[in-house]
Amino acid sequence: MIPVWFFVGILLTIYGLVIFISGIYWFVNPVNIIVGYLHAGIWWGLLMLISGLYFIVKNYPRKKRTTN
Amino acid sequence: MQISWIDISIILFYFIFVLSIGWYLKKFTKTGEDFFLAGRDCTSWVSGLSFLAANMGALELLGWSASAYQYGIIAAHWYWIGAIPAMLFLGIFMMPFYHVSKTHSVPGFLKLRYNEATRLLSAISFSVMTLLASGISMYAMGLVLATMLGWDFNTCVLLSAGTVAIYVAFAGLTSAIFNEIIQFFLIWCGALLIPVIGIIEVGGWDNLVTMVTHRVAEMGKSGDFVHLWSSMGSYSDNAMGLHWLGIVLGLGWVISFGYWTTDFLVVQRVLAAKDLRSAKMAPVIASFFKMAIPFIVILPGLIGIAVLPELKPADTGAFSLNSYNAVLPLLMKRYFAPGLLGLGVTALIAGFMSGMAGNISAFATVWTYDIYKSIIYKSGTDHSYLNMGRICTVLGVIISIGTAYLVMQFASIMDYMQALFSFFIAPLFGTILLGMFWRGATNWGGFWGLLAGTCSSVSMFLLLKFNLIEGKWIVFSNDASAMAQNMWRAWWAWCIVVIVTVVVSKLGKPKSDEELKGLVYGITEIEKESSYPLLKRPMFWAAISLVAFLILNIVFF
Repeated sequence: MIPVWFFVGILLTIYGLVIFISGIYWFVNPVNIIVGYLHAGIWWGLLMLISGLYFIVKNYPRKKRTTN
Repeated sequence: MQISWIDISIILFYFIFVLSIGWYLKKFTKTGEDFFLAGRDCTSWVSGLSFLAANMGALELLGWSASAYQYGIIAAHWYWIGAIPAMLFLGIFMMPFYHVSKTHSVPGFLKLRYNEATRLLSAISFSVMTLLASGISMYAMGLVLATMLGWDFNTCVLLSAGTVAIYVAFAGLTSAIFNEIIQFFLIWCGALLIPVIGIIEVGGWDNLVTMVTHRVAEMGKSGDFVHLWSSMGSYSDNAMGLHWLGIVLGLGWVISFGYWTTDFLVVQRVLAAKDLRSAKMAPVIASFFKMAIPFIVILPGLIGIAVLPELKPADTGAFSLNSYNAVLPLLMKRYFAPGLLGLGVTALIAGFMSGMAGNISAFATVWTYDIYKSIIYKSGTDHSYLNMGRICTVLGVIISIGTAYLVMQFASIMDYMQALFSFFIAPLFGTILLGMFWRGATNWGGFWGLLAGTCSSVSMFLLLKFNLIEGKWIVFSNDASAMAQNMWRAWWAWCIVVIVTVVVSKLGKPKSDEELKGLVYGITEIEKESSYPLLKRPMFWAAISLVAFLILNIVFF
C-alpha cells in the first residue's frame, strides 16, 4: 500500500503550485487585501510546493528488488 | 464573500482527491480487522495525527476562535488543561490495557472487564451520541458553506454527506485515517498564515495585548481577555463566568479525561497502532500538536478583537458573516488573495468532513461489533460483518442527515454538544477508570454505576433547563455560566458513578485475578520501556510534553 505521506505530498505539491502561480499573478495584478505587500501567496505556495516534493521523493513507492 | 474560479477549482479538486484515495484503498480492505481497525498496522505518527485530526473538526476551529473573540485567551484552557494531561495519561497509563486486551472498541473493553449489559448500555449511548454529533458537524458545514459560497444549504449537506459515505464505505477506518491526516495538513496550511499575517498587521504581541484590552473596554465587556488563570478567582472576574475549581475538576479532570481516554471516536485511531510502543507514543505525539493549536485558533480570535471589532453574537442556531462565529473566515477574506482563499475554505470543508467520517467509522464499528454481532447475529462470518460495516456506514450517514435537520430546531449548537458530552462521556470515564485501576469493581457495579451516572447527568440537565432547581445547588453560585454548569454537572455525574460502582461492588464478588489479567492495573504484566533507547521511550516524550504544557500555562498565567 502506498503510504499516506505520499498522498500528502501530492496534495501539497499541487496546491502549492497553484497558490504559487496565483501569487505571482496577484503580484503583477495587485488585489485589494490587507497587508497585501507581503505577497503571502508566493512564499507560502513555494513552501507548500517544496514540502510536497519532499514528501513525494521520501515516500515514492518503489518496487523492492530481489537478489538471487 | 467573493469566491473566484480558482478557489472553486481547489475545493472541487479536494472532493475528487479524497474519493480517489477511498477507491484506491478499497482493494486493501478484505477483512473486518482491515475495515474497522485499519488492519492494526498504523505507525505512531499515523495513529497520533489521525487521533488528533478526528477531534480537530472545523466546528471546533470556528467555535473556539469565536469563543476567543467572545471571552479572550481563557478559551485556550480547552486545548491545554482540557487536553494535554488526559492525552498523556491515555498514552502512558491506559493504552497498555486497551492494547493488551486486543479489544475492537471501548464498549468491547467493558464487556471484557464487566459484562455484556455494561457493553450494551455503553454501545447504545455511544451510537446515539455519535450520530447526533455527526449531524451537528453536517449542519454546521451546510450553514458555513451556504453562507460563504452562496450555495444551497441542502446541496452542501448532500454533497459532503455523499462524499463521506462513499469514501468511508470503500475502506472504513483506513480511508478515514488517510483523509484525516490529509485534512490535518490542509488545516495547518490553510490556517497558520492567519496569525502570522495578523501579528504583522497589529505590530507584534505587545501591541495586540494593548489593542485587545482597549477594544474590550470600548465594547463595554468586563473581565480579563489576555490572561489564562489570574482572572479565575471568582465567576465574575472573567467573561466566561468560570471559576478555577470548576475548570480543574470539571474540564481538566472529568470532561477532558472522559473525552480523550474513553470516547471511541479518538481511541479507535490509537487502537489501530501496530504495537504497544506505537500505541503509547501516538497520544504523546498528538499532545505536542494539540498544544500548538491555540496559535491557529485562539490567536486569530484575539486578532479579530483588534481588527474586526464590529462583530456581534450569532443569532440562535445561525451562522452569519457579521457574527463571532465568522471571525476565522473573515480574517481569511481579509488577508488571503484568490488561491489562498480557496485553500482556507478547503481546510474548513476538510475539517467538517473528517469530523463526520470519524463519527461514522466509529459508529460502524460499535454497531457491528458491540450490537449486531453480540446480540442480533452472533454466528456471522467475518465477510458478513464487513458487509454490515459498509451498510451501516451508509445508514449512519443517512441518519446523520436526519439529525442535521433536527439540530436546526435547537437554539445553540455548542451548548448541545457540551450537554451530549456530559450525558455520556463523563459517566463512562468513571466506569472505565475504576475498571482499569481497581480490581474490586464487579460486573454489576460497573453497569449500575454507568446507568446511575448517565441518568443523573440527564436529570440535572433537565432540572436546570426547566428551572426546577437553582443553578447554585450544582455550581455553588448564581453567577455561573451555562458552560460552568456543564462542567459541574459532569463532575457530579462522575462522582455518582464512582460512589454507585463502589457501593454495588462491595455487595458483590469481584472477578478472580486470572480473569482480570490484561485488563486491570497491578495484575497485568506490561512491557517495560527500558528496552528502548531514550529517544524512543513514550515516557521521555510525555515528560517533555508535560514541561511544555506547564511553561505555556506560566507564560500566559
